[in-house]
Formats: sequence, C-alpha cells, structure tokens
Amino acid sequence: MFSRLFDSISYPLVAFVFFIYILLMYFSNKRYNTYSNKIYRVLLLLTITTTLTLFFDFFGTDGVVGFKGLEGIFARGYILSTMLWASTYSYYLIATFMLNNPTQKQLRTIKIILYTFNILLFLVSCFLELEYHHRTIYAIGGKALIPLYVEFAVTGTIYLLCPILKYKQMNRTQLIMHSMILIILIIMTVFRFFTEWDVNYFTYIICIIPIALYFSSESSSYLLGKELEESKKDFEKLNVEENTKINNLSTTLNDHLSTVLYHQRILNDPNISETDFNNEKIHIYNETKNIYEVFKSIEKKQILDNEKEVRK
Amino acid sequence: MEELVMRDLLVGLAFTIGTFFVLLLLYFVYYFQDRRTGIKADLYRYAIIINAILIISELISSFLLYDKLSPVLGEILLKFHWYTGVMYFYTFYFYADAHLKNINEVDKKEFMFKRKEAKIINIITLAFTIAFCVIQFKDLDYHALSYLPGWPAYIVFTYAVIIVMVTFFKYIKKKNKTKNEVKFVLLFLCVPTIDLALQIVWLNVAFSPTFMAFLLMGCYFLLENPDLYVAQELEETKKALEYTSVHKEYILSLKAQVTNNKILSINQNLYNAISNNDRESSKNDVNNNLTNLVDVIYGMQSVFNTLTIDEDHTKTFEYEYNTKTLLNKLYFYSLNKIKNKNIKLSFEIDPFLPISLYGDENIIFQTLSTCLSTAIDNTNVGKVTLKLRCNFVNNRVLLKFDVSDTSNGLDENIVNKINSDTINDAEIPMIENYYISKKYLSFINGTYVISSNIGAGNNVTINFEQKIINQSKIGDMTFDGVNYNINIANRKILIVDNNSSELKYLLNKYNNINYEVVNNFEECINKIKLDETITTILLNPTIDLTNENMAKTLKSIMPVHQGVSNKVIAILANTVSDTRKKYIEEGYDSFIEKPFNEYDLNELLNKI
Repeated sequence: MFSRLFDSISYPLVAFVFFIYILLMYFSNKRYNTYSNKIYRVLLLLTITTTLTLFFDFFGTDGVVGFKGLEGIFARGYILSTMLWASTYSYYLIATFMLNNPTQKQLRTIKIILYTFNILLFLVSCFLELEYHHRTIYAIGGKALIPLYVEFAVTGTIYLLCPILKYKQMNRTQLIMHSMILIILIIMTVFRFFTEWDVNYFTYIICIIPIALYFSSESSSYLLGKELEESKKDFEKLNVEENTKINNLSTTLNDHLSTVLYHQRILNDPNISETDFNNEKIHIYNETKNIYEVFKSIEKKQILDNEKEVRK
Repeated sequence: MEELVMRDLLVGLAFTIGTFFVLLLLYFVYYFQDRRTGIKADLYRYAIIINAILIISELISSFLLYDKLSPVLGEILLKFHWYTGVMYFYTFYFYADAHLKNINEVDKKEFMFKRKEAKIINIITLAFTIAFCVIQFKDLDYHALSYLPGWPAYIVFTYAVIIVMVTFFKYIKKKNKTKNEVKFVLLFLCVPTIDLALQIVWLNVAFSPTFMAFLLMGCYFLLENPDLYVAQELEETKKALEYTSVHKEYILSLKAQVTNNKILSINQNLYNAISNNDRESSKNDVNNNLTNLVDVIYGMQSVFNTLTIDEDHTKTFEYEYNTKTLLNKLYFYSLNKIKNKNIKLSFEIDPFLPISLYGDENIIFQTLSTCLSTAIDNTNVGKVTLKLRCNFVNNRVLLKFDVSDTSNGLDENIVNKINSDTINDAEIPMIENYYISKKYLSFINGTYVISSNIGAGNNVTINFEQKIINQSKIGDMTFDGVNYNINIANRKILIVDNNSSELKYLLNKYNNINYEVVNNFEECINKIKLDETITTILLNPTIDLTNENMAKTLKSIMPVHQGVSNKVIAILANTVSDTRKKYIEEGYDSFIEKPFNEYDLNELLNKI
C-alpha cells in the first residue's frame, strides 16, 4: 500500500526536495523589496502549503495514517491552496512581464480581480461534489475539481501570452526558463496519456515553477546586478565630476603661472625701464596672490566637505 | 503484468526523471550566464556534464533492459552509467582540492596529473577502473528492478567513499577554514552518505542521480552562483566610489595644505623682494622665489595627473614623441632648478637611444622631473646624475634610467616604505614625491626601485618599455639652447586666446615668424576667410566651452595650400593626460601647454 502511495507522490516529493533547497538559498541571501519579489515570496509560501496539503491529503485519504473526518477539509484545503497558487502565479506573470513599470493602483486592481475570481471559483467548487478514491492513486476527484481546472486554464493562457505578447520584456534566461516549463509540462502530459502514468505531476510542476523563477528572475544576482549597474553609473558620474574639478584647477593654476612667467621674462629683460620693472614686480606679486587663493579654495572645500560628513 | 512492470519502472526512476527536469533548469541557467574562468569553473562544468550523462544513461539503460528490449546494449549502457559515478567523484576530488587550496589559474594537466597527490589519486582511480571493468553484473533480473546491481556498483560506492574520506581529511588538516568551505565539506560528506543509506534500504528506487544532482546544486549555490561574484564586484565598485570621493579629496587637500604654507612664504618673500630698492638684488629675489613657485605648482600638477588617471590606466595618452626634446626639457628644467646651488648636473645618455618613441610623454616627463627635482632638493653639494641605458627587444626598447645624487641618504625604514607595494594614505605625506613618481610609473607598467647609502646618497632606478617609431639613433647627446632661426615668414599663425601674453612674448624672439591674435572663435573664423596665408591656428579650446567641434569646423573652412597642411593646435592649460587625449579625439592635430616650455614651442614650430 505504501508503495502505491509512493507511486503517486514520488514526483512531487523530488521536486519538493529541490524546492526546499531553493527556499533555503533564497532566504539566506540578500532579498529586495520589489513588487515581483514580494509576489514571489507569497508564491513560495503557497507552494509549501500546496505540497504539504497534498501529502496530508494522500496520507489521510489512503488510510495509511488516517485523518478520519478531516479528509474533506484537507481535500478542500488542497483545492483552495492550488487555486490561490495559480492566481498568485498569474498575478506575478502580469505584474512582471505584461506590464511596463506598473503603478501601485494597477497592481492593486489586478490583485483584486484575480483573487475575487479565485474566491468565486472556490465558492462554486465548495457546492460541487467531491469524491474520494480510497486505496487508489487518485485521492481526490469529482466535479469539485472543475473550478480548479478553470483557474489553471486562465493561468495557462496568461503563461502562453507572456512570451507571445511581451517577449521584449523577458530576458534570454527568462525566455528559456519559460519555454522549459512548457516543455516539461508537455512531456509529462504526453507521457501521462500514453503510458497511464499514475503520478501527480501537477504538484511537481507547481514546485518546479518557483525553482525556474528563482534561476531566471528572483535570485538576488539579478537584482544585485542592477544595483551593481547603478553603482557603476554613480562611480562613472563621480569620477567625471572629480576629474572635471581637477582639470579646472589645473587650468586655473597654469593660466596664472603662465602670466607670472610672462611678467618674469619681461622683468629679466635688461632693457626694461625702471617704471616698467616696478610694474612687472607688482604684476608678479598680484598673480602669485591669485595662485594662493586657488590653493586656499581647495583647502576650504575640503573643510566644508568634512563638516558635511560630520553633520551626516 | 507488463503494465505493472512499466509502472514500477517509472516509479523506480521517479527520482531520476524528476531530477532530470530540475537539472535541465540548472544546466540552462548555468550555461546562459556569465561564467568564471579557471580550473574551478572548468571542473564544475565537467561534473555537470558527467551528471547529465549519468542520468541519461540510467534512463536509457533501464528502458532497454525493461522486458528484455535490448539486454546487451542495456547492460553496456548500465555499465557505462555506473562508471560515470567513478568519473563524477574523480572530478569532484579535484574540484574540492582546487577549492580547499584556493587554486584557480593553474595548468590543468599539471594540476590533475603531475602533482604527487594527483598521481596517487590517478593510480587509485585506474585500479578501481580495472576492477570495475573485469567484474561483471551478475544475473540481472529484468522484472525485479534493483538500483544496486551487484559488485560493480559496490566498487563505485567504495571509490566514492575513499574520495569523500580523503577530501574530508584534507579539510580537517587545513587551517583557516572559510564558512563556505565548512558548508561545502559537510555537503560533500552528508549527501553521498544519505544516498548510500537510502539506496541500501530501497533497492528498487534510484536515488543516486538525485543526490549527485543535489550535490551539484549545493556547489552552485555555495561556490558557483553568480550572486557571490556580483556581490563581490559590487563591494569593489563601492570601494572605488569611496576611493574617488574620499581618497582623491584627501590627497588633494593634503597637498593643498602643505602647498599653501609654501606659497604663503613665497608671497611674503616676493613682497619683500618688490620692496627692495636695489634693482639687481630685487630681480634675483623675484627669480628665486618664482623658481620655487614653479616647483610647487609642478608638484601640484603631478598630483592632479595621478588622481585623474584611473587604476585601469585608460586615461593615459600615448603618442609619438622626440626623445631629444624630452631630454632637453629635463636637462634645462634641472639646470633651472639648481640655480645657485653648488651642484654639478650630469646627463649620460646611451647613444643608441632611438630618436622617436611612442608612449605617454607627459607621464615620463613628470616622473623623471619629479625624480630629478627631489634629487636636487635633497642635495646641497656634489652631483646629480641621470644615466640612461637602452635594451632592445624587437621593435621595443627597455629604457633604464638611474637618477643618483650625493645627498645625505635616506633612513632604511623610509627606503623600505618607498619600495613597498602597499603604501597607506597616512604614509603618503612622508614620501610624497617618491610616491608620485612610483604611481606615475605604474600607469605605464614601469618599475621603480630606490636604494640609499647614509652619507653617500640615493639612487633611483626606473625601468619601462616604449615602442620604437624611428630607429635612427640619438648619438652623442648635446644640450643645446633653442633655435630661433625658423623661417616660416610666408605663412601666418593665428592665436585664438584671451590670455596670450606669454606666447606672444616667446614668438617675438623668433625672427621670421608671422602671427596674429584674436580673442574669440567668431573673430577667428572671419580672419581665416579674409587671410589665406593662415595655415596654423593655436586655439585655446576653453574659449568656447559650448562648442566641441571648433577644430573640425576650422579645418573644414581653412583654404587648401599646396605642399603645406593646415594645422589646428590646442593651447592647453593643464597637464592632465586625459585632457590631451580628449582634444586629439576632437580633431586637434597637436597641443601645447601653458605655461609654455620653449623647447616644446620650438619643436611645434619646426613641425608646422
């Protein structure tokens, strides 16, 4: 009996193991508070809930452990959790790939529409019949699952529309990951129908998608990369500013020095008159004073900068 | 029955198939990202490829063996699959070794085959390989799936245990373990152990490919993840930002503070000098003080240049220059600095020095002038010598300068500090001039070594390479004055600058040079249209800061002369290499700097 149970949950189990790995990595590294990151965090939470409810569901309905009387609650919980997962994933896809820098208002509107639709579907599902297939592979069945399929049909449509309509908004890794998920889904579905493959590959995909998202968009390297780009831009800007300042100082000093040397050359001319000689000396003295002012300005600026730093 | 076996097969391979798809994601993300180079990255890449082969060969062999579809091929493939386990751990041994020893840039053959411990591992691997090939799988039961099929599998597991244990002991022996190394070794120890335990308990479920993939993913997150390197680069960029804002300001203000006192004193002395009624003595005092002023400002300009050239040296500016002019400039600069001191100046130049070289002349002049200036400052009596020797390599020349003096010498600690590779900000004021020269040389990949004997003097040795443009030799170097007999009276020079008094003064010394001065760019254009004899324009680019195309505009409207090319030369008032580069890129043919050096001007006039 346990072996037959293992048949069904082995695939979600292996994906869940890798998912936990990603989860640990995600929370042990630097995280950002962007809207996509916030939605991703909710998606991670719902992935854990969905997978754990599935495991509980199997144990409960198959009678291995036996949660008598709680089977219905677990089964409905699984449906709700999976539907919420699908809505959150749709929300993520729309917010990240289909909208260009969405405003808070836009995000709120999409969120309300998706989750209202979700709740309505779940309410409809609650009034529909739920079947338990004790001691068989499919633990949950019946008409109550139809709203869940509708929800996934909507998510699937959004998923397919993303690369078709907004492929420019997706980078190369995101496009590859997006295609990979689709390929895995197709392979598993084809295999399922041709070999009567008795596995819950639905939950497997639910665990795989956050892994793919981590690799393509949510790993901190992507956001660190953006921060790095900005830092580099800041550095370049500051460097240009500093160099311009130094160039200007250099120009001012040499300009003054050029004038001083000109007057010095005239001063050293043996044929210069006494009056001109005295005038040249005064010119030289005045220009030297100007040079002193330039140096004082450098020192003054530094004192002001230091004061600013202390105030900070 | 058949259906059940197929289902059992799929369940047995559930972990492998499930892992395969997860790994596909890792493969794609790893191969489509910027990967590092070096032995660590290479070995990780090999491990990924081996793991992929391990999974695929297991899947194919299992399906081939299923219900005896193709038992012979299936068995060969199964054998191959298990051997990939040996290859996986073999690769992982070197991968772990490279990390524990922190080796990256190393010859792969040397690292994997020629070292003593590598040879031992290779012999062990060879022994296990032979044993693995000789011993066959025994009576494979195609209906009772087992993923631990007999002795060859045990051989692979034994090999894995040996590799893990050797790595673990090497890790224990290692001092100063990093956090990531602890995590990595724990992973390397725990993952195969759990795998082995589970595999023994559940013989009909394939766990190994999953755990091997798990190990690879762990390495990705701990060691190969670009996050780690992006974070490191971010840290470095932030440090560079801090360097630019704090270090540059610090050095600048430090220099300004020191220089302020000197200029204040020069100012005071000049005031006394102009109050002096004796004409000759007043003139001498003014001249002496102005020599000091030039020194101070040159020192400041050196600091400016040091600060504007980036660490990656992209702001150096190389061009063809005349070695004779450079040495002449250095000689007369030094002579002017010695003035009334009782010092003999000697330049001993290798007669084989090529006449024309290619490099950043500005940096070379400033390095050598700083060295000579420091030597003259330190010496009161005796001699300051500059020796230049050349070594030729293909079309390049290695220039070896020795600047020696007869000063009192430097303390050993100071000498060590100057020769040291790491000088902190607080130590810079103590060895400022040496620091600047050394820093300059680093921009042109030169070396700087100082030696000193207390009571006997200092010797600075400078080496750097330059590209040869003209092979003609300089011969016996003589230091001549400026030649004022340049005859270009049939052409006219137009000066466009609002502060051209020094230049006019210097040009007046020439007998056959025609020039005219205008104060702005518009006047300049009108002048060119009216006067066809103008072939050279000396233009200060800062005269119109909004117009970056002045040189190109002028060249396009200047009339064409037969046998003479029109030239637009930038009058620059700063010594920063980057500025020179910028103006040449904007279309200027050459440049000349304020305050004007008579030798530079002479060379320029000779060329036009």
